[in-house]
Amino acid sequence: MGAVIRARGICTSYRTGFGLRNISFEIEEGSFVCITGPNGGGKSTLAKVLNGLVSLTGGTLEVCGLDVNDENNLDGVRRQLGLVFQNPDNQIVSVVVKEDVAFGPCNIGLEPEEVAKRTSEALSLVGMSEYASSPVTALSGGQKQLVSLAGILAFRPRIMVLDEITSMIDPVERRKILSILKDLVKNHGITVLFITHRFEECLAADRLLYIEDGVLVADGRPEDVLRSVIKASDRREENA
Amino acid sequence: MRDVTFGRYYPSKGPLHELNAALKLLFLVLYIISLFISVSYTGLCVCIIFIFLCIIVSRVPFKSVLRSFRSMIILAFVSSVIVCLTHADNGALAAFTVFVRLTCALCVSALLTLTTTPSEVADGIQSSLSFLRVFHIPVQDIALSVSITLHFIPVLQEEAEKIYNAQKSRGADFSGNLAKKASSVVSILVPLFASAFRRAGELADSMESRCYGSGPERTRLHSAGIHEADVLASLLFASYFLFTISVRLLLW
Ligand SMILES: Nc1ncnc2c1ncn2[C@@H]1O[C@H](COP(=O)(O)OP(=O)(O)OP(=O)(O)O)[C@@H](O)[C@H]1O
Ligand SMILES: [Mg+2]
Repeated sequence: MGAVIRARGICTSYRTGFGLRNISFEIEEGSFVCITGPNGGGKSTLAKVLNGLVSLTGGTLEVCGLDVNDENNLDGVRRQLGLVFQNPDNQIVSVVVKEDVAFGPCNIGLEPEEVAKRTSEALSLVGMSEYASSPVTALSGGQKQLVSLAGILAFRPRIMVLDEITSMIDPVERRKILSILKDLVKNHGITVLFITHRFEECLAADRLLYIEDGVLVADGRPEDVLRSVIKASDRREENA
Repeated sequence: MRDVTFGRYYPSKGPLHELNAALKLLFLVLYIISLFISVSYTGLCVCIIFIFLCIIVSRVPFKSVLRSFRSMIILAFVSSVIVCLTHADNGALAAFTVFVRLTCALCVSALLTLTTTPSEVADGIQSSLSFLRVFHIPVQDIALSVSITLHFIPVLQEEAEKIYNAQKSRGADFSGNLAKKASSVVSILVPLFASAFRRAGELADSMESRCYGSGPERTRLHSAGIHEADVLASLLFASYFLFTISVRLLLW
């Protein structure tokens, strides 16, 4: 299987001065990759770049063979790369759970029966079927995260970029989500990029990217990356 | 501020919940017209009785309907008092007319938002106004904006409450004279606006990343069409509407 994401020297910049600097990596199709790093390191920014929401100031980025910098490709990219954002409160557009999950499939003009099928499928996958007709305001933070995840699953994307989607979810449910994702990777060949702060989730991945200050500091097997990062921070403490 | 529950959906399986949203919007407009047709005590009472029946049928608790526009009743009351005082002859009827028209119009709009989810409202607007697309009016965007607005009224209201509690727990004083009160309201409004803008930005990102506005035509979930219940409701509503017209013509 080939690479579904090819980033070569990508740079971005916000007006506040922060930006990604010269990040390069390739992601193999059907792999489970974690991205971690300190707060404000640029993980969420990278996620938005992959989806074409933040534009590049340098470098090239290809998702599923499409150049993300080209406006005309954005629709194609977004159909294949689903992004779940960090804050569950600000990404739910509808009042009722199933309507929100159906939002994406409706946007790409699927038949109503197909939309309904995918919606109930996605909700049952994340274990939220019984809430299908509940108002979103009645849900907890973690449940909203599950609904957001279902909203992307209903798209049936080739790649999923998930930005700290387990931050508000209890340990039991978190393990369940992780195993659902691993199953999607293994049996459906979906590629998952999983942004997280948790070591145990990092260790479950095939590969780990560590981003700090907008720079890709380390990239490799999770154990190796974590070991080198911990060593580096120990060294810094000793020097201080 | 915490009383503003207008626009909150009340999930239930009442018969009004099941009706076609476009039809409900039509009923809303016609009902408001009927309020303006009625100029006598009899006519206005017919309007009141009708809205009462609707509330009972809807299975939305009466309290919820009332609460959703509690603060606006005062407005209706004040304006009817003003009308009463300024009208030379028959001030009582004029005041009653103003009061009934305002409260019933509020009541019927509240009932619509209580029994219809914002996205159903959006779909209803979209299907009933789709003819405007001939004039290149972006009906779909307007409809979605309406639905998001309705969706975010309770969300922002909760946020205001959170900010209020946070300020209070850090010792902010919300009592005192009017000037002091006004300045403490500002201390809520500023963070509220800041967060509303941030929300709007993130929401737009989320919609964009889910391909909003990309496809040729959005699928509508609720294009369920017309069912038996819709026909029955239309017949009932039509008879109500004709009745108000005949009250106007026969009894004046
Ligand atoms: N829309 C924006 N405009 C300007 N600056 C921004 C914007 N979004 C993020 N930033 C800045 O970019 C930097 C990186 O933010 P980003 O959200 O990518 O970090 P992160 O790695 O996801 O952090 P966290 O782990 O806290 O989620 C931060 O310093 C932030 O202040
Ligand atoms: Mg982040």
